[in-house]
Amino acid sequence: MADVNVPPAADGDEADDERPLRDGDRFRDADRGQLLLVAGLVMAVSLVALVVLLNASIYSENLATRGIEAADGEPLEIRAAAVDGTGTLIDATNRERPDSYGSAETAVEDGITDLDGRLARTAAERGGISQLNPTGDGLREGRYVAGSVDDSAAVRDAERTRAFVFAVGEPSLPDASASTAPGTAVTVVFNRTGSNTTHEVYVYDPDDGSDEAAVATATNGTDATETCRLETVDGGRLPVDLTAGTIDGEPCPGIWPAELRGDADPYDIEFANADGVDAEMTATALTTREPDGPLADASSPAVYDATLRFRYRTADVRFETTVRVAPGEPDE
Amino acid sequence: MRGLLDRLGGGRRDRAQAHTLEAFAAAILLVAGLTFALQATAVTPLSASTSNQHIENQQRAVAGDLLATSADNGDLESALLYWDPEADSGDGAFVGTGEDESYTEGGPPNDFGETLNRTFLDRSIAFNVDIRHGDRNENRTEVVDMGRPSDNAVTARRSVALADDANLTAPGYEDTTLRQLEGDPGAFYVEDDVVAGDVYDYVEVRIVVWRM
Repeated sequence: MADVNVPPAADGDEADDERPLRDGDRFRDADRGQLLLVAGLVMAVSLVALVVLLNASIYSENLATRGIEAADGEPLEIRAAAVDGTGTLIDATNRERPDSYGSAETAVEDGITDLDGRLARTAAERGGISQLNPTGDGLREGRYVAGSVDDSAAVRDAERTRAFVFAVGEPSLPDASASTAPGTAVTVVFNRTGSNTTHEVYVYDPDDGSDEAAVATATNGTDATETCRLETVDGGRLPVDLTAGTIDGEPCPGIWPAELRGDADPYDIEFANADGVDAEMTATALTTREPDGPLADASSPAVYDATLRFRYRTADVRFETTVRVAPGEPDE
Repeated sequence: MRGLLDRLGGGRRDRAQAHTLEAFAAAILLVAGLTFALQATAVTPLSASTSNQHIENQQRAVAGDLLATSADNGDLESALLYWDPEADSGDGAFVGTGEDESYTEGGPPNDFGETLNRTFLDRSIAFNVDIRHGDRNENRTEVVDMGRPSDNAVTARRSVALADDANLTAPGYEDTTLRQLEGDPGAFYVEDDVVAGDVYDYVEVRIVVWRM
């Protein structure tokens, strides 16, 4: 605290002017008090102002940095549009059953060029540039197979399979249990000839109850275990989506053999106990061989998948990726 | 006497300094008072703040993820095809919209609408759903219209491809494909664009979300 007391007496030279001198000192003393008071006030107010300023700058910095997070999602959004659009395009083209692989390839490539233009316009609306084009690998040839099956039906040398739906008429399902399924149930067999291994998927009507359907799996036709069971069945076609792992839309994980995920040895898809049963399959397989039995007439050349390069750029974001589009392929 | 005047003058100099400081203090006080008055507005859930920004980001993420999951499991495409070509005196309308031509009290009566209601409406969050279509996405069809969005509304979008052989999902029209409607202009809300390949059109679904 500063010393604000009266200063010591003035020096002797001005002893004659003692009274006026004291008046002057009184003025100075009063001024100093006022000065200190005002200085204190200024300091207090300045500190408060500093706090307010600091708070304001932190707030605006906070707002400014948060905006970037939202922009991160844009390339992913457009990438999703590219993947979904190409997937729908490939499947729609295959369902039209083109005469040759060449015409399927041309149709898909034209569609991708058209989609690229549309995505570029969407990107331009947001101040970005996007580009979608097939890479060197581009499109791969496969077979689109959709038709009814019996025991002679088979898809040969499939390296990969996607969107494989096996639909069985519920009234024609044979009664069985997990242990009797190998001889009686409608069976889809994945025959890996290279490693001499088979994987079976059985679809049957469990003999311990009514109005139900069950799916069991096995390897080499032994030790079949029930994977899941549907409590109510409406009596129509029962779609078992083997690649997505659903039965009549209900999730049923583990139907697709784990050994067939990703790059596997070529395998054959065969059927057993399917004679006289109302059964149909739909799938796209990565193979160039024509299927056997009734499926021979029910298949057509198709585009199996497409590998695309996608690029997106704005002032802040540069995004480049390669995506393989194969809708309905089981996860690796 | 001279010394006295000097001292008196010195006193005046001190006073001038004090006055200057006082003037500064008064100015700062005035400015601080003004600042305080300007800042002292009521904080409502809609006033801009960092927490408000945070909620907007959250809502944008939820709306985007809702569109992504619905597109993945097929609900979104089914909802886009939930169209009755003969409703509204033959002009066509989404099933059950009546005279409004869009749903106003919540999502459409299908799986996509249920997801919307469960995610947003049950938490007092309003939403509009638009479909942009046409060659340059210049045409707009409203699916859900719950009013004018507030200033803090956020938008999420998703592009969906409709195949030529896609079936309508409206009851009674499950066997009608978009290709069959191509010959009847106006029967479907998306006009038949000249799209290469067997795709009918690429449409963009936009959800605008805001707190009520």
